[in-house]
Amino acid sequence: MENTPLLELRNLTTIYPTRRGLVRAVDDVTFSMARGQILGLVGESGCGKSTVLLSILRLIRRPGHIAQGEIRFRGRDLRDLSSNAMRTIRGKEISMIFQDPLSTLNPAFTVGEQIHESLRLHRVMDGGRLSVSPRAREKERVIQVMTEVGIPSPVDRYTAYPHQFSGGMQQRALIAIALVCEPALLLADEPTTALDVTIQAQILDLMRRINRDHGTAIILVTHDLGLAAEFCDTIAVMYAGRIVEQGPVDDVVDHPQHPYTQGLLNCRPRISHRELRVQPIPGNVPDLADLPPGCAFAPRCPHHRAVCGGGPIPLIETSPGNISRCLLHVDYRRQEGWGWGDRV
Amino acid sequence: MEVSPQVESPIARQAYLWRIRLGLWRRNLAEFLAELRNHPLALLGGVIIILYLLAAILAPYITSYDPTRGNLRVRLQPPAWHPEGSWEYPLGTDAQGRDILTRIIYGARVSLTVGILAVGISATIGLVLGAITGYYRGRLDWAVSRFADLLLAFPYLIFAIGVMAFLGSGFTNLILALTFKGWVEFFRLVRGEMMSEKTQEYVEAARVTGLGHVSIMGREVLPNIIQSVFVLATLRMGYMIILEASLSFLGLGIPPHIPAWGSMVAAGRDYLLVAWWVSTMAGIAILILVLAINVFGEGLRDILDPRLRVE
Repeated sequence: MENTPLLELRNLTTIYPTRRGLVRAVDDVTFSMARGQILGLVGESGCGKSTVLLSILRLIRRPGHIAQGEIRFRGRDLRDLSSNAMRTIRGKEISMIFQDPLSTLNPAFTVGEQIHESLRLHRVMDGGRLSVSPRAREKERVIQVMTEVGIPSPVDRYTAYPHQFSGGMQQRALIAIALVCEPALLLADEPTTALDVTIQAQILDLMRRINRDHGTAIILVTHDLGLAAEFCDTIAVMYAGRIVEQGPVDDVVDHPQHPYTQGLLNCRPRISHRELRVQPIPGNVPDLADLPPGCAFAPRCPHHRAVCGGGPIPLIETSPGNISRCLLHVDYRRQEGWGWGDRV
Repeated sequence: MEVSPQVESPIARQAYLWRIRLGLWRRNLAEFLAELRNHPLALLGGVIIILYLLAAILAPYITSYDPTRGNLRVRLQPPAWHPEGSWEYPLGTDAQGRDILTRIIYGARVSLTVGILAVGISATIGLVLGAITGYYRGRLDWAVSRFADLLLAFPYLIFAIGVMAFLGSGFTNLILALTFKGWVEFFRLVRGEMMSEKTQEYVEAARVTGLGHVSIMGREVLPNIIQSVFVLATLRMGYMIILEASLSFLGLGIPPHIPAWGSMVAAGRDYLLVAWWVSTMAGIAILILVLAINVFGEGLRDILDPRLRVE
């Protein structure tokens, strides 16, 4: 039990059938994370990072579906669970917060009620008896969570409606809803993108504190590599539905292996290096319905050779704990029988 | 740490749900009453509606006359303020010597019952169908929507006349005729709102906290759209009352021996030149009630629509 990772994805593939063909929004994604770890999923919009989160919760909208793979949470494959059992996981074991807090909060209920609702839902589902958690104690817990996420005068704010909150406060309220049942894993989908930079720092600080105090593991989905670099233990860079590079944060940021990661880092404006111009990655994100047989990044890659388009490229271990999906690391020597899910 | 299996007693769950609902209603009602003070017209409308309701309920205690049996010696007595009138019959008498005020008070029973039942049933059908089709879409949505379009192609009154002619007059048939088409407005409203609310992120977030589809529909989305249903219900209420009166006027609604405003107006038609009050008084009763309901409905919309709310 102690050795099983908290969450383990194996060859997760999520597809959306569209008129132009199957879109593999998530393709052969494999990673695992331990209790209390913070993983950053980084990539451009449309690269499938949000779909990974929704797949973990099994909330992919039809006709999209998880085509294959395992989602092992505490050793059990979530794909085997009944939809009722899955509902007891959502919000209680695995919570999620979103980019736009105002539209995520229900406008018809006060913030306190919404935090309370999540608590009641799962307590009731657990015990089936109302006496398990009397109202007063629940309310106390709600106030406690509101205090913890830094909502000032929580007793008064309990009866306030979402639109009466500022953006930062809304995001705090959303985090309170996610945390009230003390989940083991928090999925954060661009939680700070809609916020001011100063508020952004506060929210990240809050999330880091929660991670430290409660041992809550976090998957942070972001397009901002700099933000992920500051916040995460491990970073997985995604491109066109696949993980292209993964490793401890310092290795990935200081010694990026994959040309795409290098490109992302060059795109980032840095105050300390004002003389260095920002270098955009040429070209566009590929059409997911029509991916090349080989490396999806090849058309934009400065190092690409003809062999890159020849077929699947496995994740190649560049140093212990670091993997990168690029033929550059094997001197452009392709071997027969390589698949996207392989690791060499 | 294992995820505990879902143990859930249905009774406890229902009790829990009702506790939430009652709490919400109590709070919303208090808020609503406080807000009503800022809308004097709506308040006035509400008071008039309550007076009509009281009159309808307490009819036998308000007047001692029999609404159906007249006194032929006092036929067509003018109202009290008329030189020939008397306070014995404040609004005069009709051709059979029946007290018009008494008949109006008893007629309120018919109008209000028909209005409330027709709107209540229509709203319930429309709400359930609209919520389900708007949420799940699919073939059922297509079928119900096309049927609704079909019904909308008929003018309401003509349609109701047709249904009544087919079913025959009577109270139950009247309600049937009015709801047969009346649910469509509610259906379209709720379906549209459900479709737009469903794309809201809070629905997705509710899924993430572990709510099921039925709970999301009933507990997350419904509170956001129920207010527009209330507003539509009040506005439709006046319309239903007029429709009932129109059908009764045409002799297709309430059987003649039961006092109803529509048939009173119809009965007074022959005496308009000699005794204008027979038709007019019943007409004014309709006018005031419908006006009060509409004003109340407008106020309700202003109060309940959060976008119009002044912070």
